[in-house]
Parts: sequence; C-alpha cells; structure tokens
Amino acid sequence: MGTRLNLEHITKIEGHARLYVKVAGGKVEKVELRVLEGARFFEGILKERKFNDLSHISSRICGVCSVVHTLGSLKAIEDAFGIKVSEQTRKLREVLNIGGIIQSHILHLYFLTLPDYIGVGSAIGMAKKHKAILERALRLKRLGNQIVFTIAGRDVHPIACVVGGFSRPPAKDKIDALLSELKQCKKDAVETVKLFMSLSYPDFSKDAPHFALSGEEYFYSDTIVRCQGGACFPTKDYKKHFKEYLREGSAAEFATREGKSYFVGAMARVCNNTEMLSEESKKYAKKICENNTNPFMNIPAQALEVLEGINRSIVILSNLEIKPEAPTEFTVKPCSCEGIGAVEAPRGTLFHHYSFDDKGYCTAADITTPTTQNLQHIEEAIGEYLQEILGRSPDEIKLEIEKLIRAYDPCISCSTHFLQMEVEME
Amino acid sequence: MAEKNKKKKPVVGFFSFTCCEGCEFTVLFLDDLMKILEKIDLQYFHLIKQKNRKVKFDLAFVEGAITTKEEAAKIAKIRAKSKFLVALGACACHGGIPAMRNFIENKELGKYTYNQKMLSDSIEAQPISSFIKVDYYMYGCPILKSEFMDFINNYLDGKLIKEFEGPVCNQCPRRGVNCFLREKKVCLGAVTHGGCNAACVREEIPCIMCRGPLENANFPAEIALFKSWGLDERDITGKLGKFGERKLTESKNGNKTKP
Repeated sequence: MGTRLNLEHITKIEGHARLYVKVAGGKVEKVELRVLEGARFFEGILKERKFNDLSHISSRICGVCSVVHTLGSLKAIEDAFGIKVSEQTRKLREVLNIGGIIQSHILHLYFLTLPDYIGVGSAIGMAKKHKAILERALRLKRLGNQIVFTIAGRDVHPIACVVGGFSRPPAKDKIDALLSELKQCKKDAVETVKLFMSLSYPDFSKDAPHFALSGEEYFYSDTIVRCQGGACFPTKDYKKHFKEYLREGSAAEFATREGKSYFVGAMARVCNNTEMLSEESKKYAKKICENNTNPFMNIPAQALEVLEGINRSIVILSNLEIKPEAPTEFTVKPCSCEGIGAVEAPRGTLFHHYSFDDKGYCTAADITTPTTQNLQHIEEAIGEYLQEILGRSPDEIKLEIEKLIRAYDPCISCSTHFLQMEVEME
Repeated sequence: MAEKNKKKKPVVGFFSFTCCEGCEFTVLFLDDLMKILEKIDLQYFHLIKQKNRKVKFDLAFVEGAITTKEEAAKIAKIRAKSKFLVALGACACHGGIPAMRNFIENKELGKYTYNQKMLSDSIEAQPISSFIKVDYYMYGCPILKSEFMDFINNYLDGKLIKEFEGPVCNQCPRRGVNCFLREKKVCLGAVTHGGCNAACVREEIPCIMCRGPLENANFPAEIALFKSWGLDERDITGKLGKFGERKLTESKNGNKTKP
C-alpha cells in the first residue's frame, strides 16, 4: 500500500480541477488531470441559436478570455457567411485582442505567478513589502481594462462587437486618452519584462512541437498555423492536425497531434513568430527562445507580450483615423455553410468552428481552447518534473508542481473546473 | 496598514460555482481593489489566494449557478457559515448562461460528455436562491463595478444599499425618442432589471437582458411582439433564454413554477 498524501486545492489558476499522482518505488507511475465540473455544454447550447446570439453566449465561456471568445465567435460567423470586415475593424480588433491579452497576462504574471517567486502567499502580501511592484501591476491592469473598455464598451464580456464590425466606432477623445495612457505605461511594461526575465525559474525541459497562428500580424493572424522551425499548414485544416478526445472521468477535452502532446501559448508565439516582433522585443525574445523547451519560459514570454502589445497598440492607434461605419449585423445573408474563427488568445490558439442552416441558425459548434490543447503537455510535464524533484519535502513538491501548472496559465473555466490535488506516494 | 486598528475587519469570502468567473474577475479588475482588501479580512478567494479557510463569514459573495448535487450541498454549507450573503452576477441570481443547458434534453446532453458519472450527479442548472436565502442580488453579466463599490463601501460603513428598482428603460437615452423596438430590433430593456445606466444602448446595442428578468416581466407580451415581427420559436428561445431561462420556461408552461 502506498502512502497517500492529500494536497489541498490548486489555487491561483482559473477554474478548478483535480490532479491525481501515483508514486511507487520511487517512480512516478501515473499522472492524471481530472477536470471535474458542472459542465456547461457550450457546444450544445450554441446549437439551434441564431448567428447574432452566438458571440454573446461564447463570451461567457470564460470571464478572463471573454474578448477572444467573442472575436473567435464573430470570425467563425463571418467566415461562414463570407463577410469581409473593413481595415478599420481589423485594426481595432487587433488592439482589442491586445487589450484582452494584457488583462489576462498582467493578472497571471503579477497576481497568480509572482507571489510564488518572491515568497508571499498572494498579491495581498505584496502590499507590504513590494509596494512599487504592486502599484505597477495595478497601473498595467488598469491599462488592459481601459483598452478593452474603450474599444468594446465593457472590460469583461464586450458589448460593442457585432458581426461585421462594431456597433459604433470608439469615440475619438477616448482613443486619444487611451493613446496617452499607453505611452505612459510603456515604462512599466519595460520594467515588467526586466523583472520577469530576472526571476530564477526551475531548470526543467520538456520537448514538444510549439504552434501559433501566423501570416498577418503578431497579435491578429488567422491564415496559417505555424510550427516551431517554420513548417506551416492552413488554418482551415486544423482539425486534420489537432485531434480532440474526451477522457473517461473528466469533463475536459484533451487534444493531441499525431497522438502526441504539443504546446500553444505566449512562448510559442514569441519563438515561432520572432521576426514579427518589434526590434525592442526581439532583444528579449532571443533569451527566451534559446530555452524554449522549458515551460517556465512561458512566464517571461507573457511579460514580453505586454511590452510588444503596448508598442503595437501605439503604432496602430497613432495611425488610425477612425470613421463611422455601418455594422453589417442586420443585413447578413445566412447560408447553409460553415466557418472557422481562429485567434491567438492569451493562452494560445483558439478555434471556433460553426455550421449553419440557411436561416442562420447554428447546427453544430466545435470550440478548441488553448488549455484543451495544452492539457496533455501539462500532464506529461508534471510526471517528468515530479520524477526530478521526488527527493524534496512534500511541501516543496507541492509548490513546485503548482508553479509548473501555473506557468502554462491554464484556464480551466475554458476547458472546464480543478478540485484538489491528490498524490499517492509509497 | 493596520497598526492599531481596533475595529475588527469583516471576514469575507468569495465562492465560485458553475460559471465563467467573470464576476470574480470584475472584482479583481476594480481600480480600488487594494483599498478594499486593506479594509476586509479576506479568508476565502480561491482565484488569488494560496491559503483559503472556511471559517465563519460576515460577508459571502457567491458567483455561479448550481448544477450538481455536490454544489447544492456546498452552497447550503456556505450559507450556514455566512451572516450576509450576496448573489454575484447573472448565474447566481437567475441561472444565467449555464441554465441554457436546461433547454437541451438529458439524452442529448450525453453526446457532449463522455463522463456518465458526472451526468448522473448533475441536476437542472438553477440560481442559488433555489437552495438558500439570498440577502442581496447583484445583477449583471458581469456585475457592475460601480454597484460593487457602492455596496462594499456602504457595507463597511455599516449600511446596506437597495437593489435598483424598475427596468433598463428607466435610464435609457432612447426612451420615447428612438426606441429600438420601433426599429424592430430585439431590445429586452423593458423586461430587464435596470441599474446599468442602459450601458449597452449607449453603445448602440439593444439590451440582451444580462441583468436578468424583472419579477413582473411580461414574457408572453414580449414573445407575441417578436412573433409578430416574424421571429420564430428558436430565435425567441435564444434571445429571451440567454438570461431568462426560468422565466421563459415558466411562461411557456403557463406560469407553472418549477419545483
């Protein structure tokens, strides 16, 4: 009989799930992520709904990724009905996506991750010893919210995004205010990159192919999926490459490529699309990508994206003369057809795939989230990392495993909810 | 900081059931988050705290709908430990988007999950008020930052605020001028809890009822109006059912309240 070591909830991740680990004779025998939640059956509830309800429902898949689920949903609808959006809409959506990524990255970096590396239990503990860092985090958090609020009308569950564009163009004075805030926060972003590049991350390696969308803009590409090393395939073929499966005992979906795990996320974007980054960011990218078999490098990669996102937003908004445009939502001509919407979400590539009947009702919906794609990789990495650190104390092991899980920034709300961590040890 | 703070800080917990956690994120997104955290004794907030304790709470915030037997048992325990309990957001208040699964037949649900045990544990998705007494309803998908701040600041001063009364129309800039309904655009402001300053209408978007249906909302009249415009059953279910699943099902069943 093995000794059972019960570890409490895995905290500071989005959602809840259970990790089951079995160790016998000094060897990790089994690692199983069991995601158990009151399932919400999103793919079921989208069915039978009219196209103009889908983005509102999809947005509610996740409170921290609501921007990107809205965008993925709208793009799938537009792809199906052959709607081409204006250049202005594309640009504004790119900045909106950056806003969503900054919101999510800043929460993850400063509130969920940093406490582990500076020895405080939560961001609340930072208020005493690390006031300057906390204030910087709060300024960047506010900036992310301001971007999303300015463009989409609300910072969680966007309002103004509709099929074909926006219900109204953002007000010029608000864009100007945002632009000045972006310029002011630039310094904070540089400090963020420096801080997260300087932390001492565990030395751990887990090789697997990395994927990210490519083809257009760093934060807003959708035509091709690019693999590490440069190989690509068209986005519309994603299902041929990425296979989802459900596992008994878990409400979550797992995805694999040719039966093996793969990785999506900030590190995949930074390293697969390095040449799309600004010169300033490239300097930092080099150090991250030299070490990109280490999942912990996803943390500085996120920090780098905050800086890149601010730079890119400044460029776009400084050159954008916003004009009023009529949204197309009320003139859409539905057809019996299907469409794919692919977007780079904070945690990696997100796919929405919808089919419609000729009245514009959804007949099938299939959503592949970044966390679904990373779960298999996370699970394997836990097993390998645990094997390396088995000699340490139970408390240390627990912290290290939690740190590893958090490095992926999993969003269990997206793939579904963690309950507790259970380790059976001999 | 709390040097010689004689007044005891209220013990506060945040609890999350089946939902997107967007209301907890909205709390984290508050500009004055740290100021509030200084004034409370936060003992439970799984999303941001490493050590969480289930103690006796002066104030509990609960987000999410109840969708399993396990969750139903858990919400009862939280209620028993809490002096004042706030339902946070559309899912906790009315069932919200998770309740849309109630439109799907159970056998159909099986197709979307491989986990039969989970299905057997699941119950009809319901608001927390189906199981416990709620002291304050903070509506919205997500909640409004302004309402949360108003609530917590008053609470810390020993006062309680009241929920906004009346529909979204009461604060709508289009009211009596260029109402969306005149343009035959499905706007649900008339049947929706107000208090949001008609934020969506101000962004040129008709109300989607994210603050949930008013108790006295006349769904049959809304349905009749939309049908007269040519909307069919499926479309109406999608429009009214996103945040009004219970009310819609009740009005379809001739106001028969669910057990």
